[in-house]
Amino acid sequence: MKRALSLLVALAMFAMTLSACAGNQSSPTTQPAAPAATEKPESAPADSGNSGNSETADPVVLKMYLLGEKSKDFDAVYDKINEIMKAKINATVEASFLSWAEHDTKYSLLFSGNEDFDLIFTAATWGHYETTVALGGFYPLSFDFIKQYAPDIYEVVPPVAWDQAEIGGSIYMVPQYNNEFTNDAYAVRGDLMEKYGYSTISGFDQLTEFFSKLAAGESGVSPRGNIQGGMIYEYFQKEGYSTLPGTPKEFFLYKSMDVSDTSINYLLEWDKFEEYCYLMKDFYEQGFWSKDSLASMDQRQDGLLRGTSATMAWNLGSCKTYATEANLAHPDWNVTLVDIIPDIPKQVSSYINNGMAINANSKNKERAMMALNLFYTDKEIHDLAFYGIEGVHWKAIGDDAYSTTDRTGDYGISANCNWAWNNMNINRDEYIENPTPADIKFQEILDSWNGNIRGEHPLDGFSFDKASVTNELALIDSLVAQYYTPLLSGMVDDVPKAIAELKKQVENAGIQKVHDEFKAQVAAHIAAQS
Amino acid sequence: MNKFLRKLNKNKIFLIMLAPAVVYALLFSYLPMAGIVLAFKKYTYAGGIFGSAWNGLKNFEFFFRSGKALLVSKNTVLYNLAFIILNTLTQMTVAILLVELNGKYFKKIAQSLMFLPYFISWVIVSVIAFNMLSNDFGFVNSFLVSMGFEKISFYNNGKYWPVILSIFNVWKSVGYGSVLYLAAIMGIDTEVYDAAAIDGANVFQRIFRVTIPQMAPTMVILLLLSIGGIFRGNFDMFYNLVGNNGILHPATDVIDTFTFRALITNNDFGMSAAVGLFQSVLCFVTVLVANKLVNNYDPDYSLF
Repeated sequence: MKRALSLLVALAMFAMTLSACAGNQSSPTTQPAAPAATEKPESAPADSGNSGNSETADPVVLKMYLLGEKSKDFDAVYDKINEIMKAKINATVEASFLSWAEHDTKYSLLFSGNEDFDLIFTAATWGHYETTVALGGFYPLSFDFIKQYAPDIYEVVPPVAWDQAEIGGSIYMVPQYNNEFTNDAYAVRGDLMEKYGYSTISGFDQLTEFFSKLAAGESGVSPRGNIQGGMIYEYFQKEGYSTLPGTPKEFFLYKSMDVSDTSINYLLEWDKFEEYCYLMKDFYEQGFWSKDSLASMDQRQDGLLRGTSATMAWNLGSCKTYATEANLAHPDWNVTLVDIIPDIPKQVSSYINNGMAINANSKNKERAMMALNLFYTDKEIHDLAFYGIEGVHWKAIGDDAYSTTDRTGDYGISANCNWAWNNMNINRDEYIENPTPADIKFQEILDSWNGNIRGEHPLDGFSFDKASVTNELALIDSLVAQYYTPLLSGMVDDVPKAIAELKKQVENAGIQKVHDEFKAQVAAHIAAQS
Repeated sequence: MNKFLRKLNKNKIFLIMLAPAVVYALLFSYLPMAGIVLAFKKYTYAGGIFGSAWNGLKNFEFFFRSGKALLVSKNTVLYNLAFIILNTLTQMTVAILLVELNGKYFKKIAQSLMFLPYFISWVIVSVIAFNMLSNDFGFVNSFLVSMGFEKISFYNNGKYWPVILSIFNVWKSVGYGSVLYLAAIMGIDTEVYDAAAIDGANVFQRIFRVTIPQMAPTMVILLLLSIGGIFRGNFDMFYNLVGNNGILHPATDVIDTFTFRALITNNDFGMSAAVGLFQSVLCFVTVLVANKLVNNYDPDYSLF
């Protein structure tokens, strides 16, 4: 009897453990519907004549998923946007956000769970574009469809952008239209530069020379803080190479500085790779980055802001943002911006780095496209989505500039995933009354980059259809952390041995098949272009 | 029929108490089993689980072709064995000590303090671990340096991790696990202890001759239950403490983290389901064998 009793207790406790686990998992963070579409007054209808149209006869609520965190005044701003939308196309937008932390896991669940929504943010690689296309999640956009429902977008978006978005003969997203640069800049502590006798830094070699002095002379501040993957992108840029769109990690490169060279370089057989690995090993041993790098959960900006890293590498805009933030907290740091490879022409990012797609199961595909057309090209809506309410969150300076107000932070400048419909014809520039040295440097670098954009390479617009090599890609992905990242970061004992081991592993995983597939698709892409 | 209804009526309170557990098991354990077919399909959003095309055994290919299947399976089993043994020992010891202790307040406070880590999520634990073990600012390394020793680069050296992971695992589960054994001890008839006292048994004899033998059935059941999960790595723990730090992977990679890393970027539901099925089948076989062995030893102790 006693034995039976204790068994029962044990089992009951076990059941409790189970339900406790379940309790942990079942926290659905479905965001409540954002803007109130309910209290729309009836005064809105028929003002542009469009609403008499049979296509816009029924009022619809479009559900839209964006990435990131929404800012405090988001709902108020979208109420305004909805007023205009309602009048123009008899539709309102209900936006929900997938946070930075959860979008990797939740994005695919929206599709596999048959969630009812119309529009969703997407982006090449990091924004799940190719993956979702491969699983059939997006509605393919034909040019007829685009011309009919979004004629203004068709006018604005350049052909090369559509070309980039094409996978297997169809387009699944509306790419953004803005020249962003793929090149990273550096934000560097001005006080440390001065201490080691630099007034400016130009060029990779001078930068690393400065790092050597820093690493030898300072304790508590390391040149790069915690970084994963060494300085591979800086190195590619210096050598004039770019990663091929769709490549697993950096395994396939093309010579982007030479528009006549359309060959694919396999990283492990690239003649500069070994040299790179030795260079990084040397850097790591000098202490350019922390021994904790691979274990650290630091975001890029953390080291700089905390004072444990003397520099931060990121795109120019982010460098300016965090340089300003660091200078506000520590005026004596005097963080400034550096272009580390000034003599090399700059590359404009692929336009599919941000964009919007329509859910294949959407019930209102036409209206969704019309709404996108307004977000993209309607000046009033575009301004609202990018900067907030005029007079509250920003002040208009003429037609193409804005200045901040003390409430700017409540909505934020370009802070609510509105980059998906970047349109540089109507984006505004910031007007700063009293620019700081970092602001001036930013403008200086930006102007020099804009004046030095490299020619378009035939492979810039390439995109990879991975459907036939998913097994191989999954295997390669599983090997990266163990064999590849430590090598890139210079954290291996024996470089040739580590390269040989990596090579053996990825070959076993089937990199040759991936390589062949890339060759075939690149050849088809080039044949289609000429 | 009538008899059945009468029986039903007689036991209705018990049945109602049982109902939530039965519904729970049906909903979350039996119903989803149909989804196993996913392991043999080429999943697309349009087709869903049942409409997608069949894919044969292709989804299993990537796992076995990786060359890592053996290593990660071995890691998974060895870590789980270590955890099962360490957890059982520490939890039983703590439970016995708590019973034998006198001071009421000390007992309550000690138990609560040991229970606390159970509620801390692995994400937080990983931050605590990083702050203890980091090379630059870690508490352990600062201490070593102040004592005149060399720093130890924990995050660049796999050999320390079996120990580190075991310590954190025990630390986190000892309080909760010991409650099960406490309950078992509370169920022991006090008359047995009285009889032992009359016979002149000292503390150790009491523990080894009375308490532990009486706890054995509970221990065996808990052992069998944890053996049922021996091919499943504790993803939460491994992922948060080790993460993507590849240098540690040879010593710390388990089936679950390996699969996660391979499939997080390409969202292939079919391949994930295939690995899950592989683990389930192995777990099923292990638990059957273990139960059979226990059955041979003493049928009263076995699960079924």
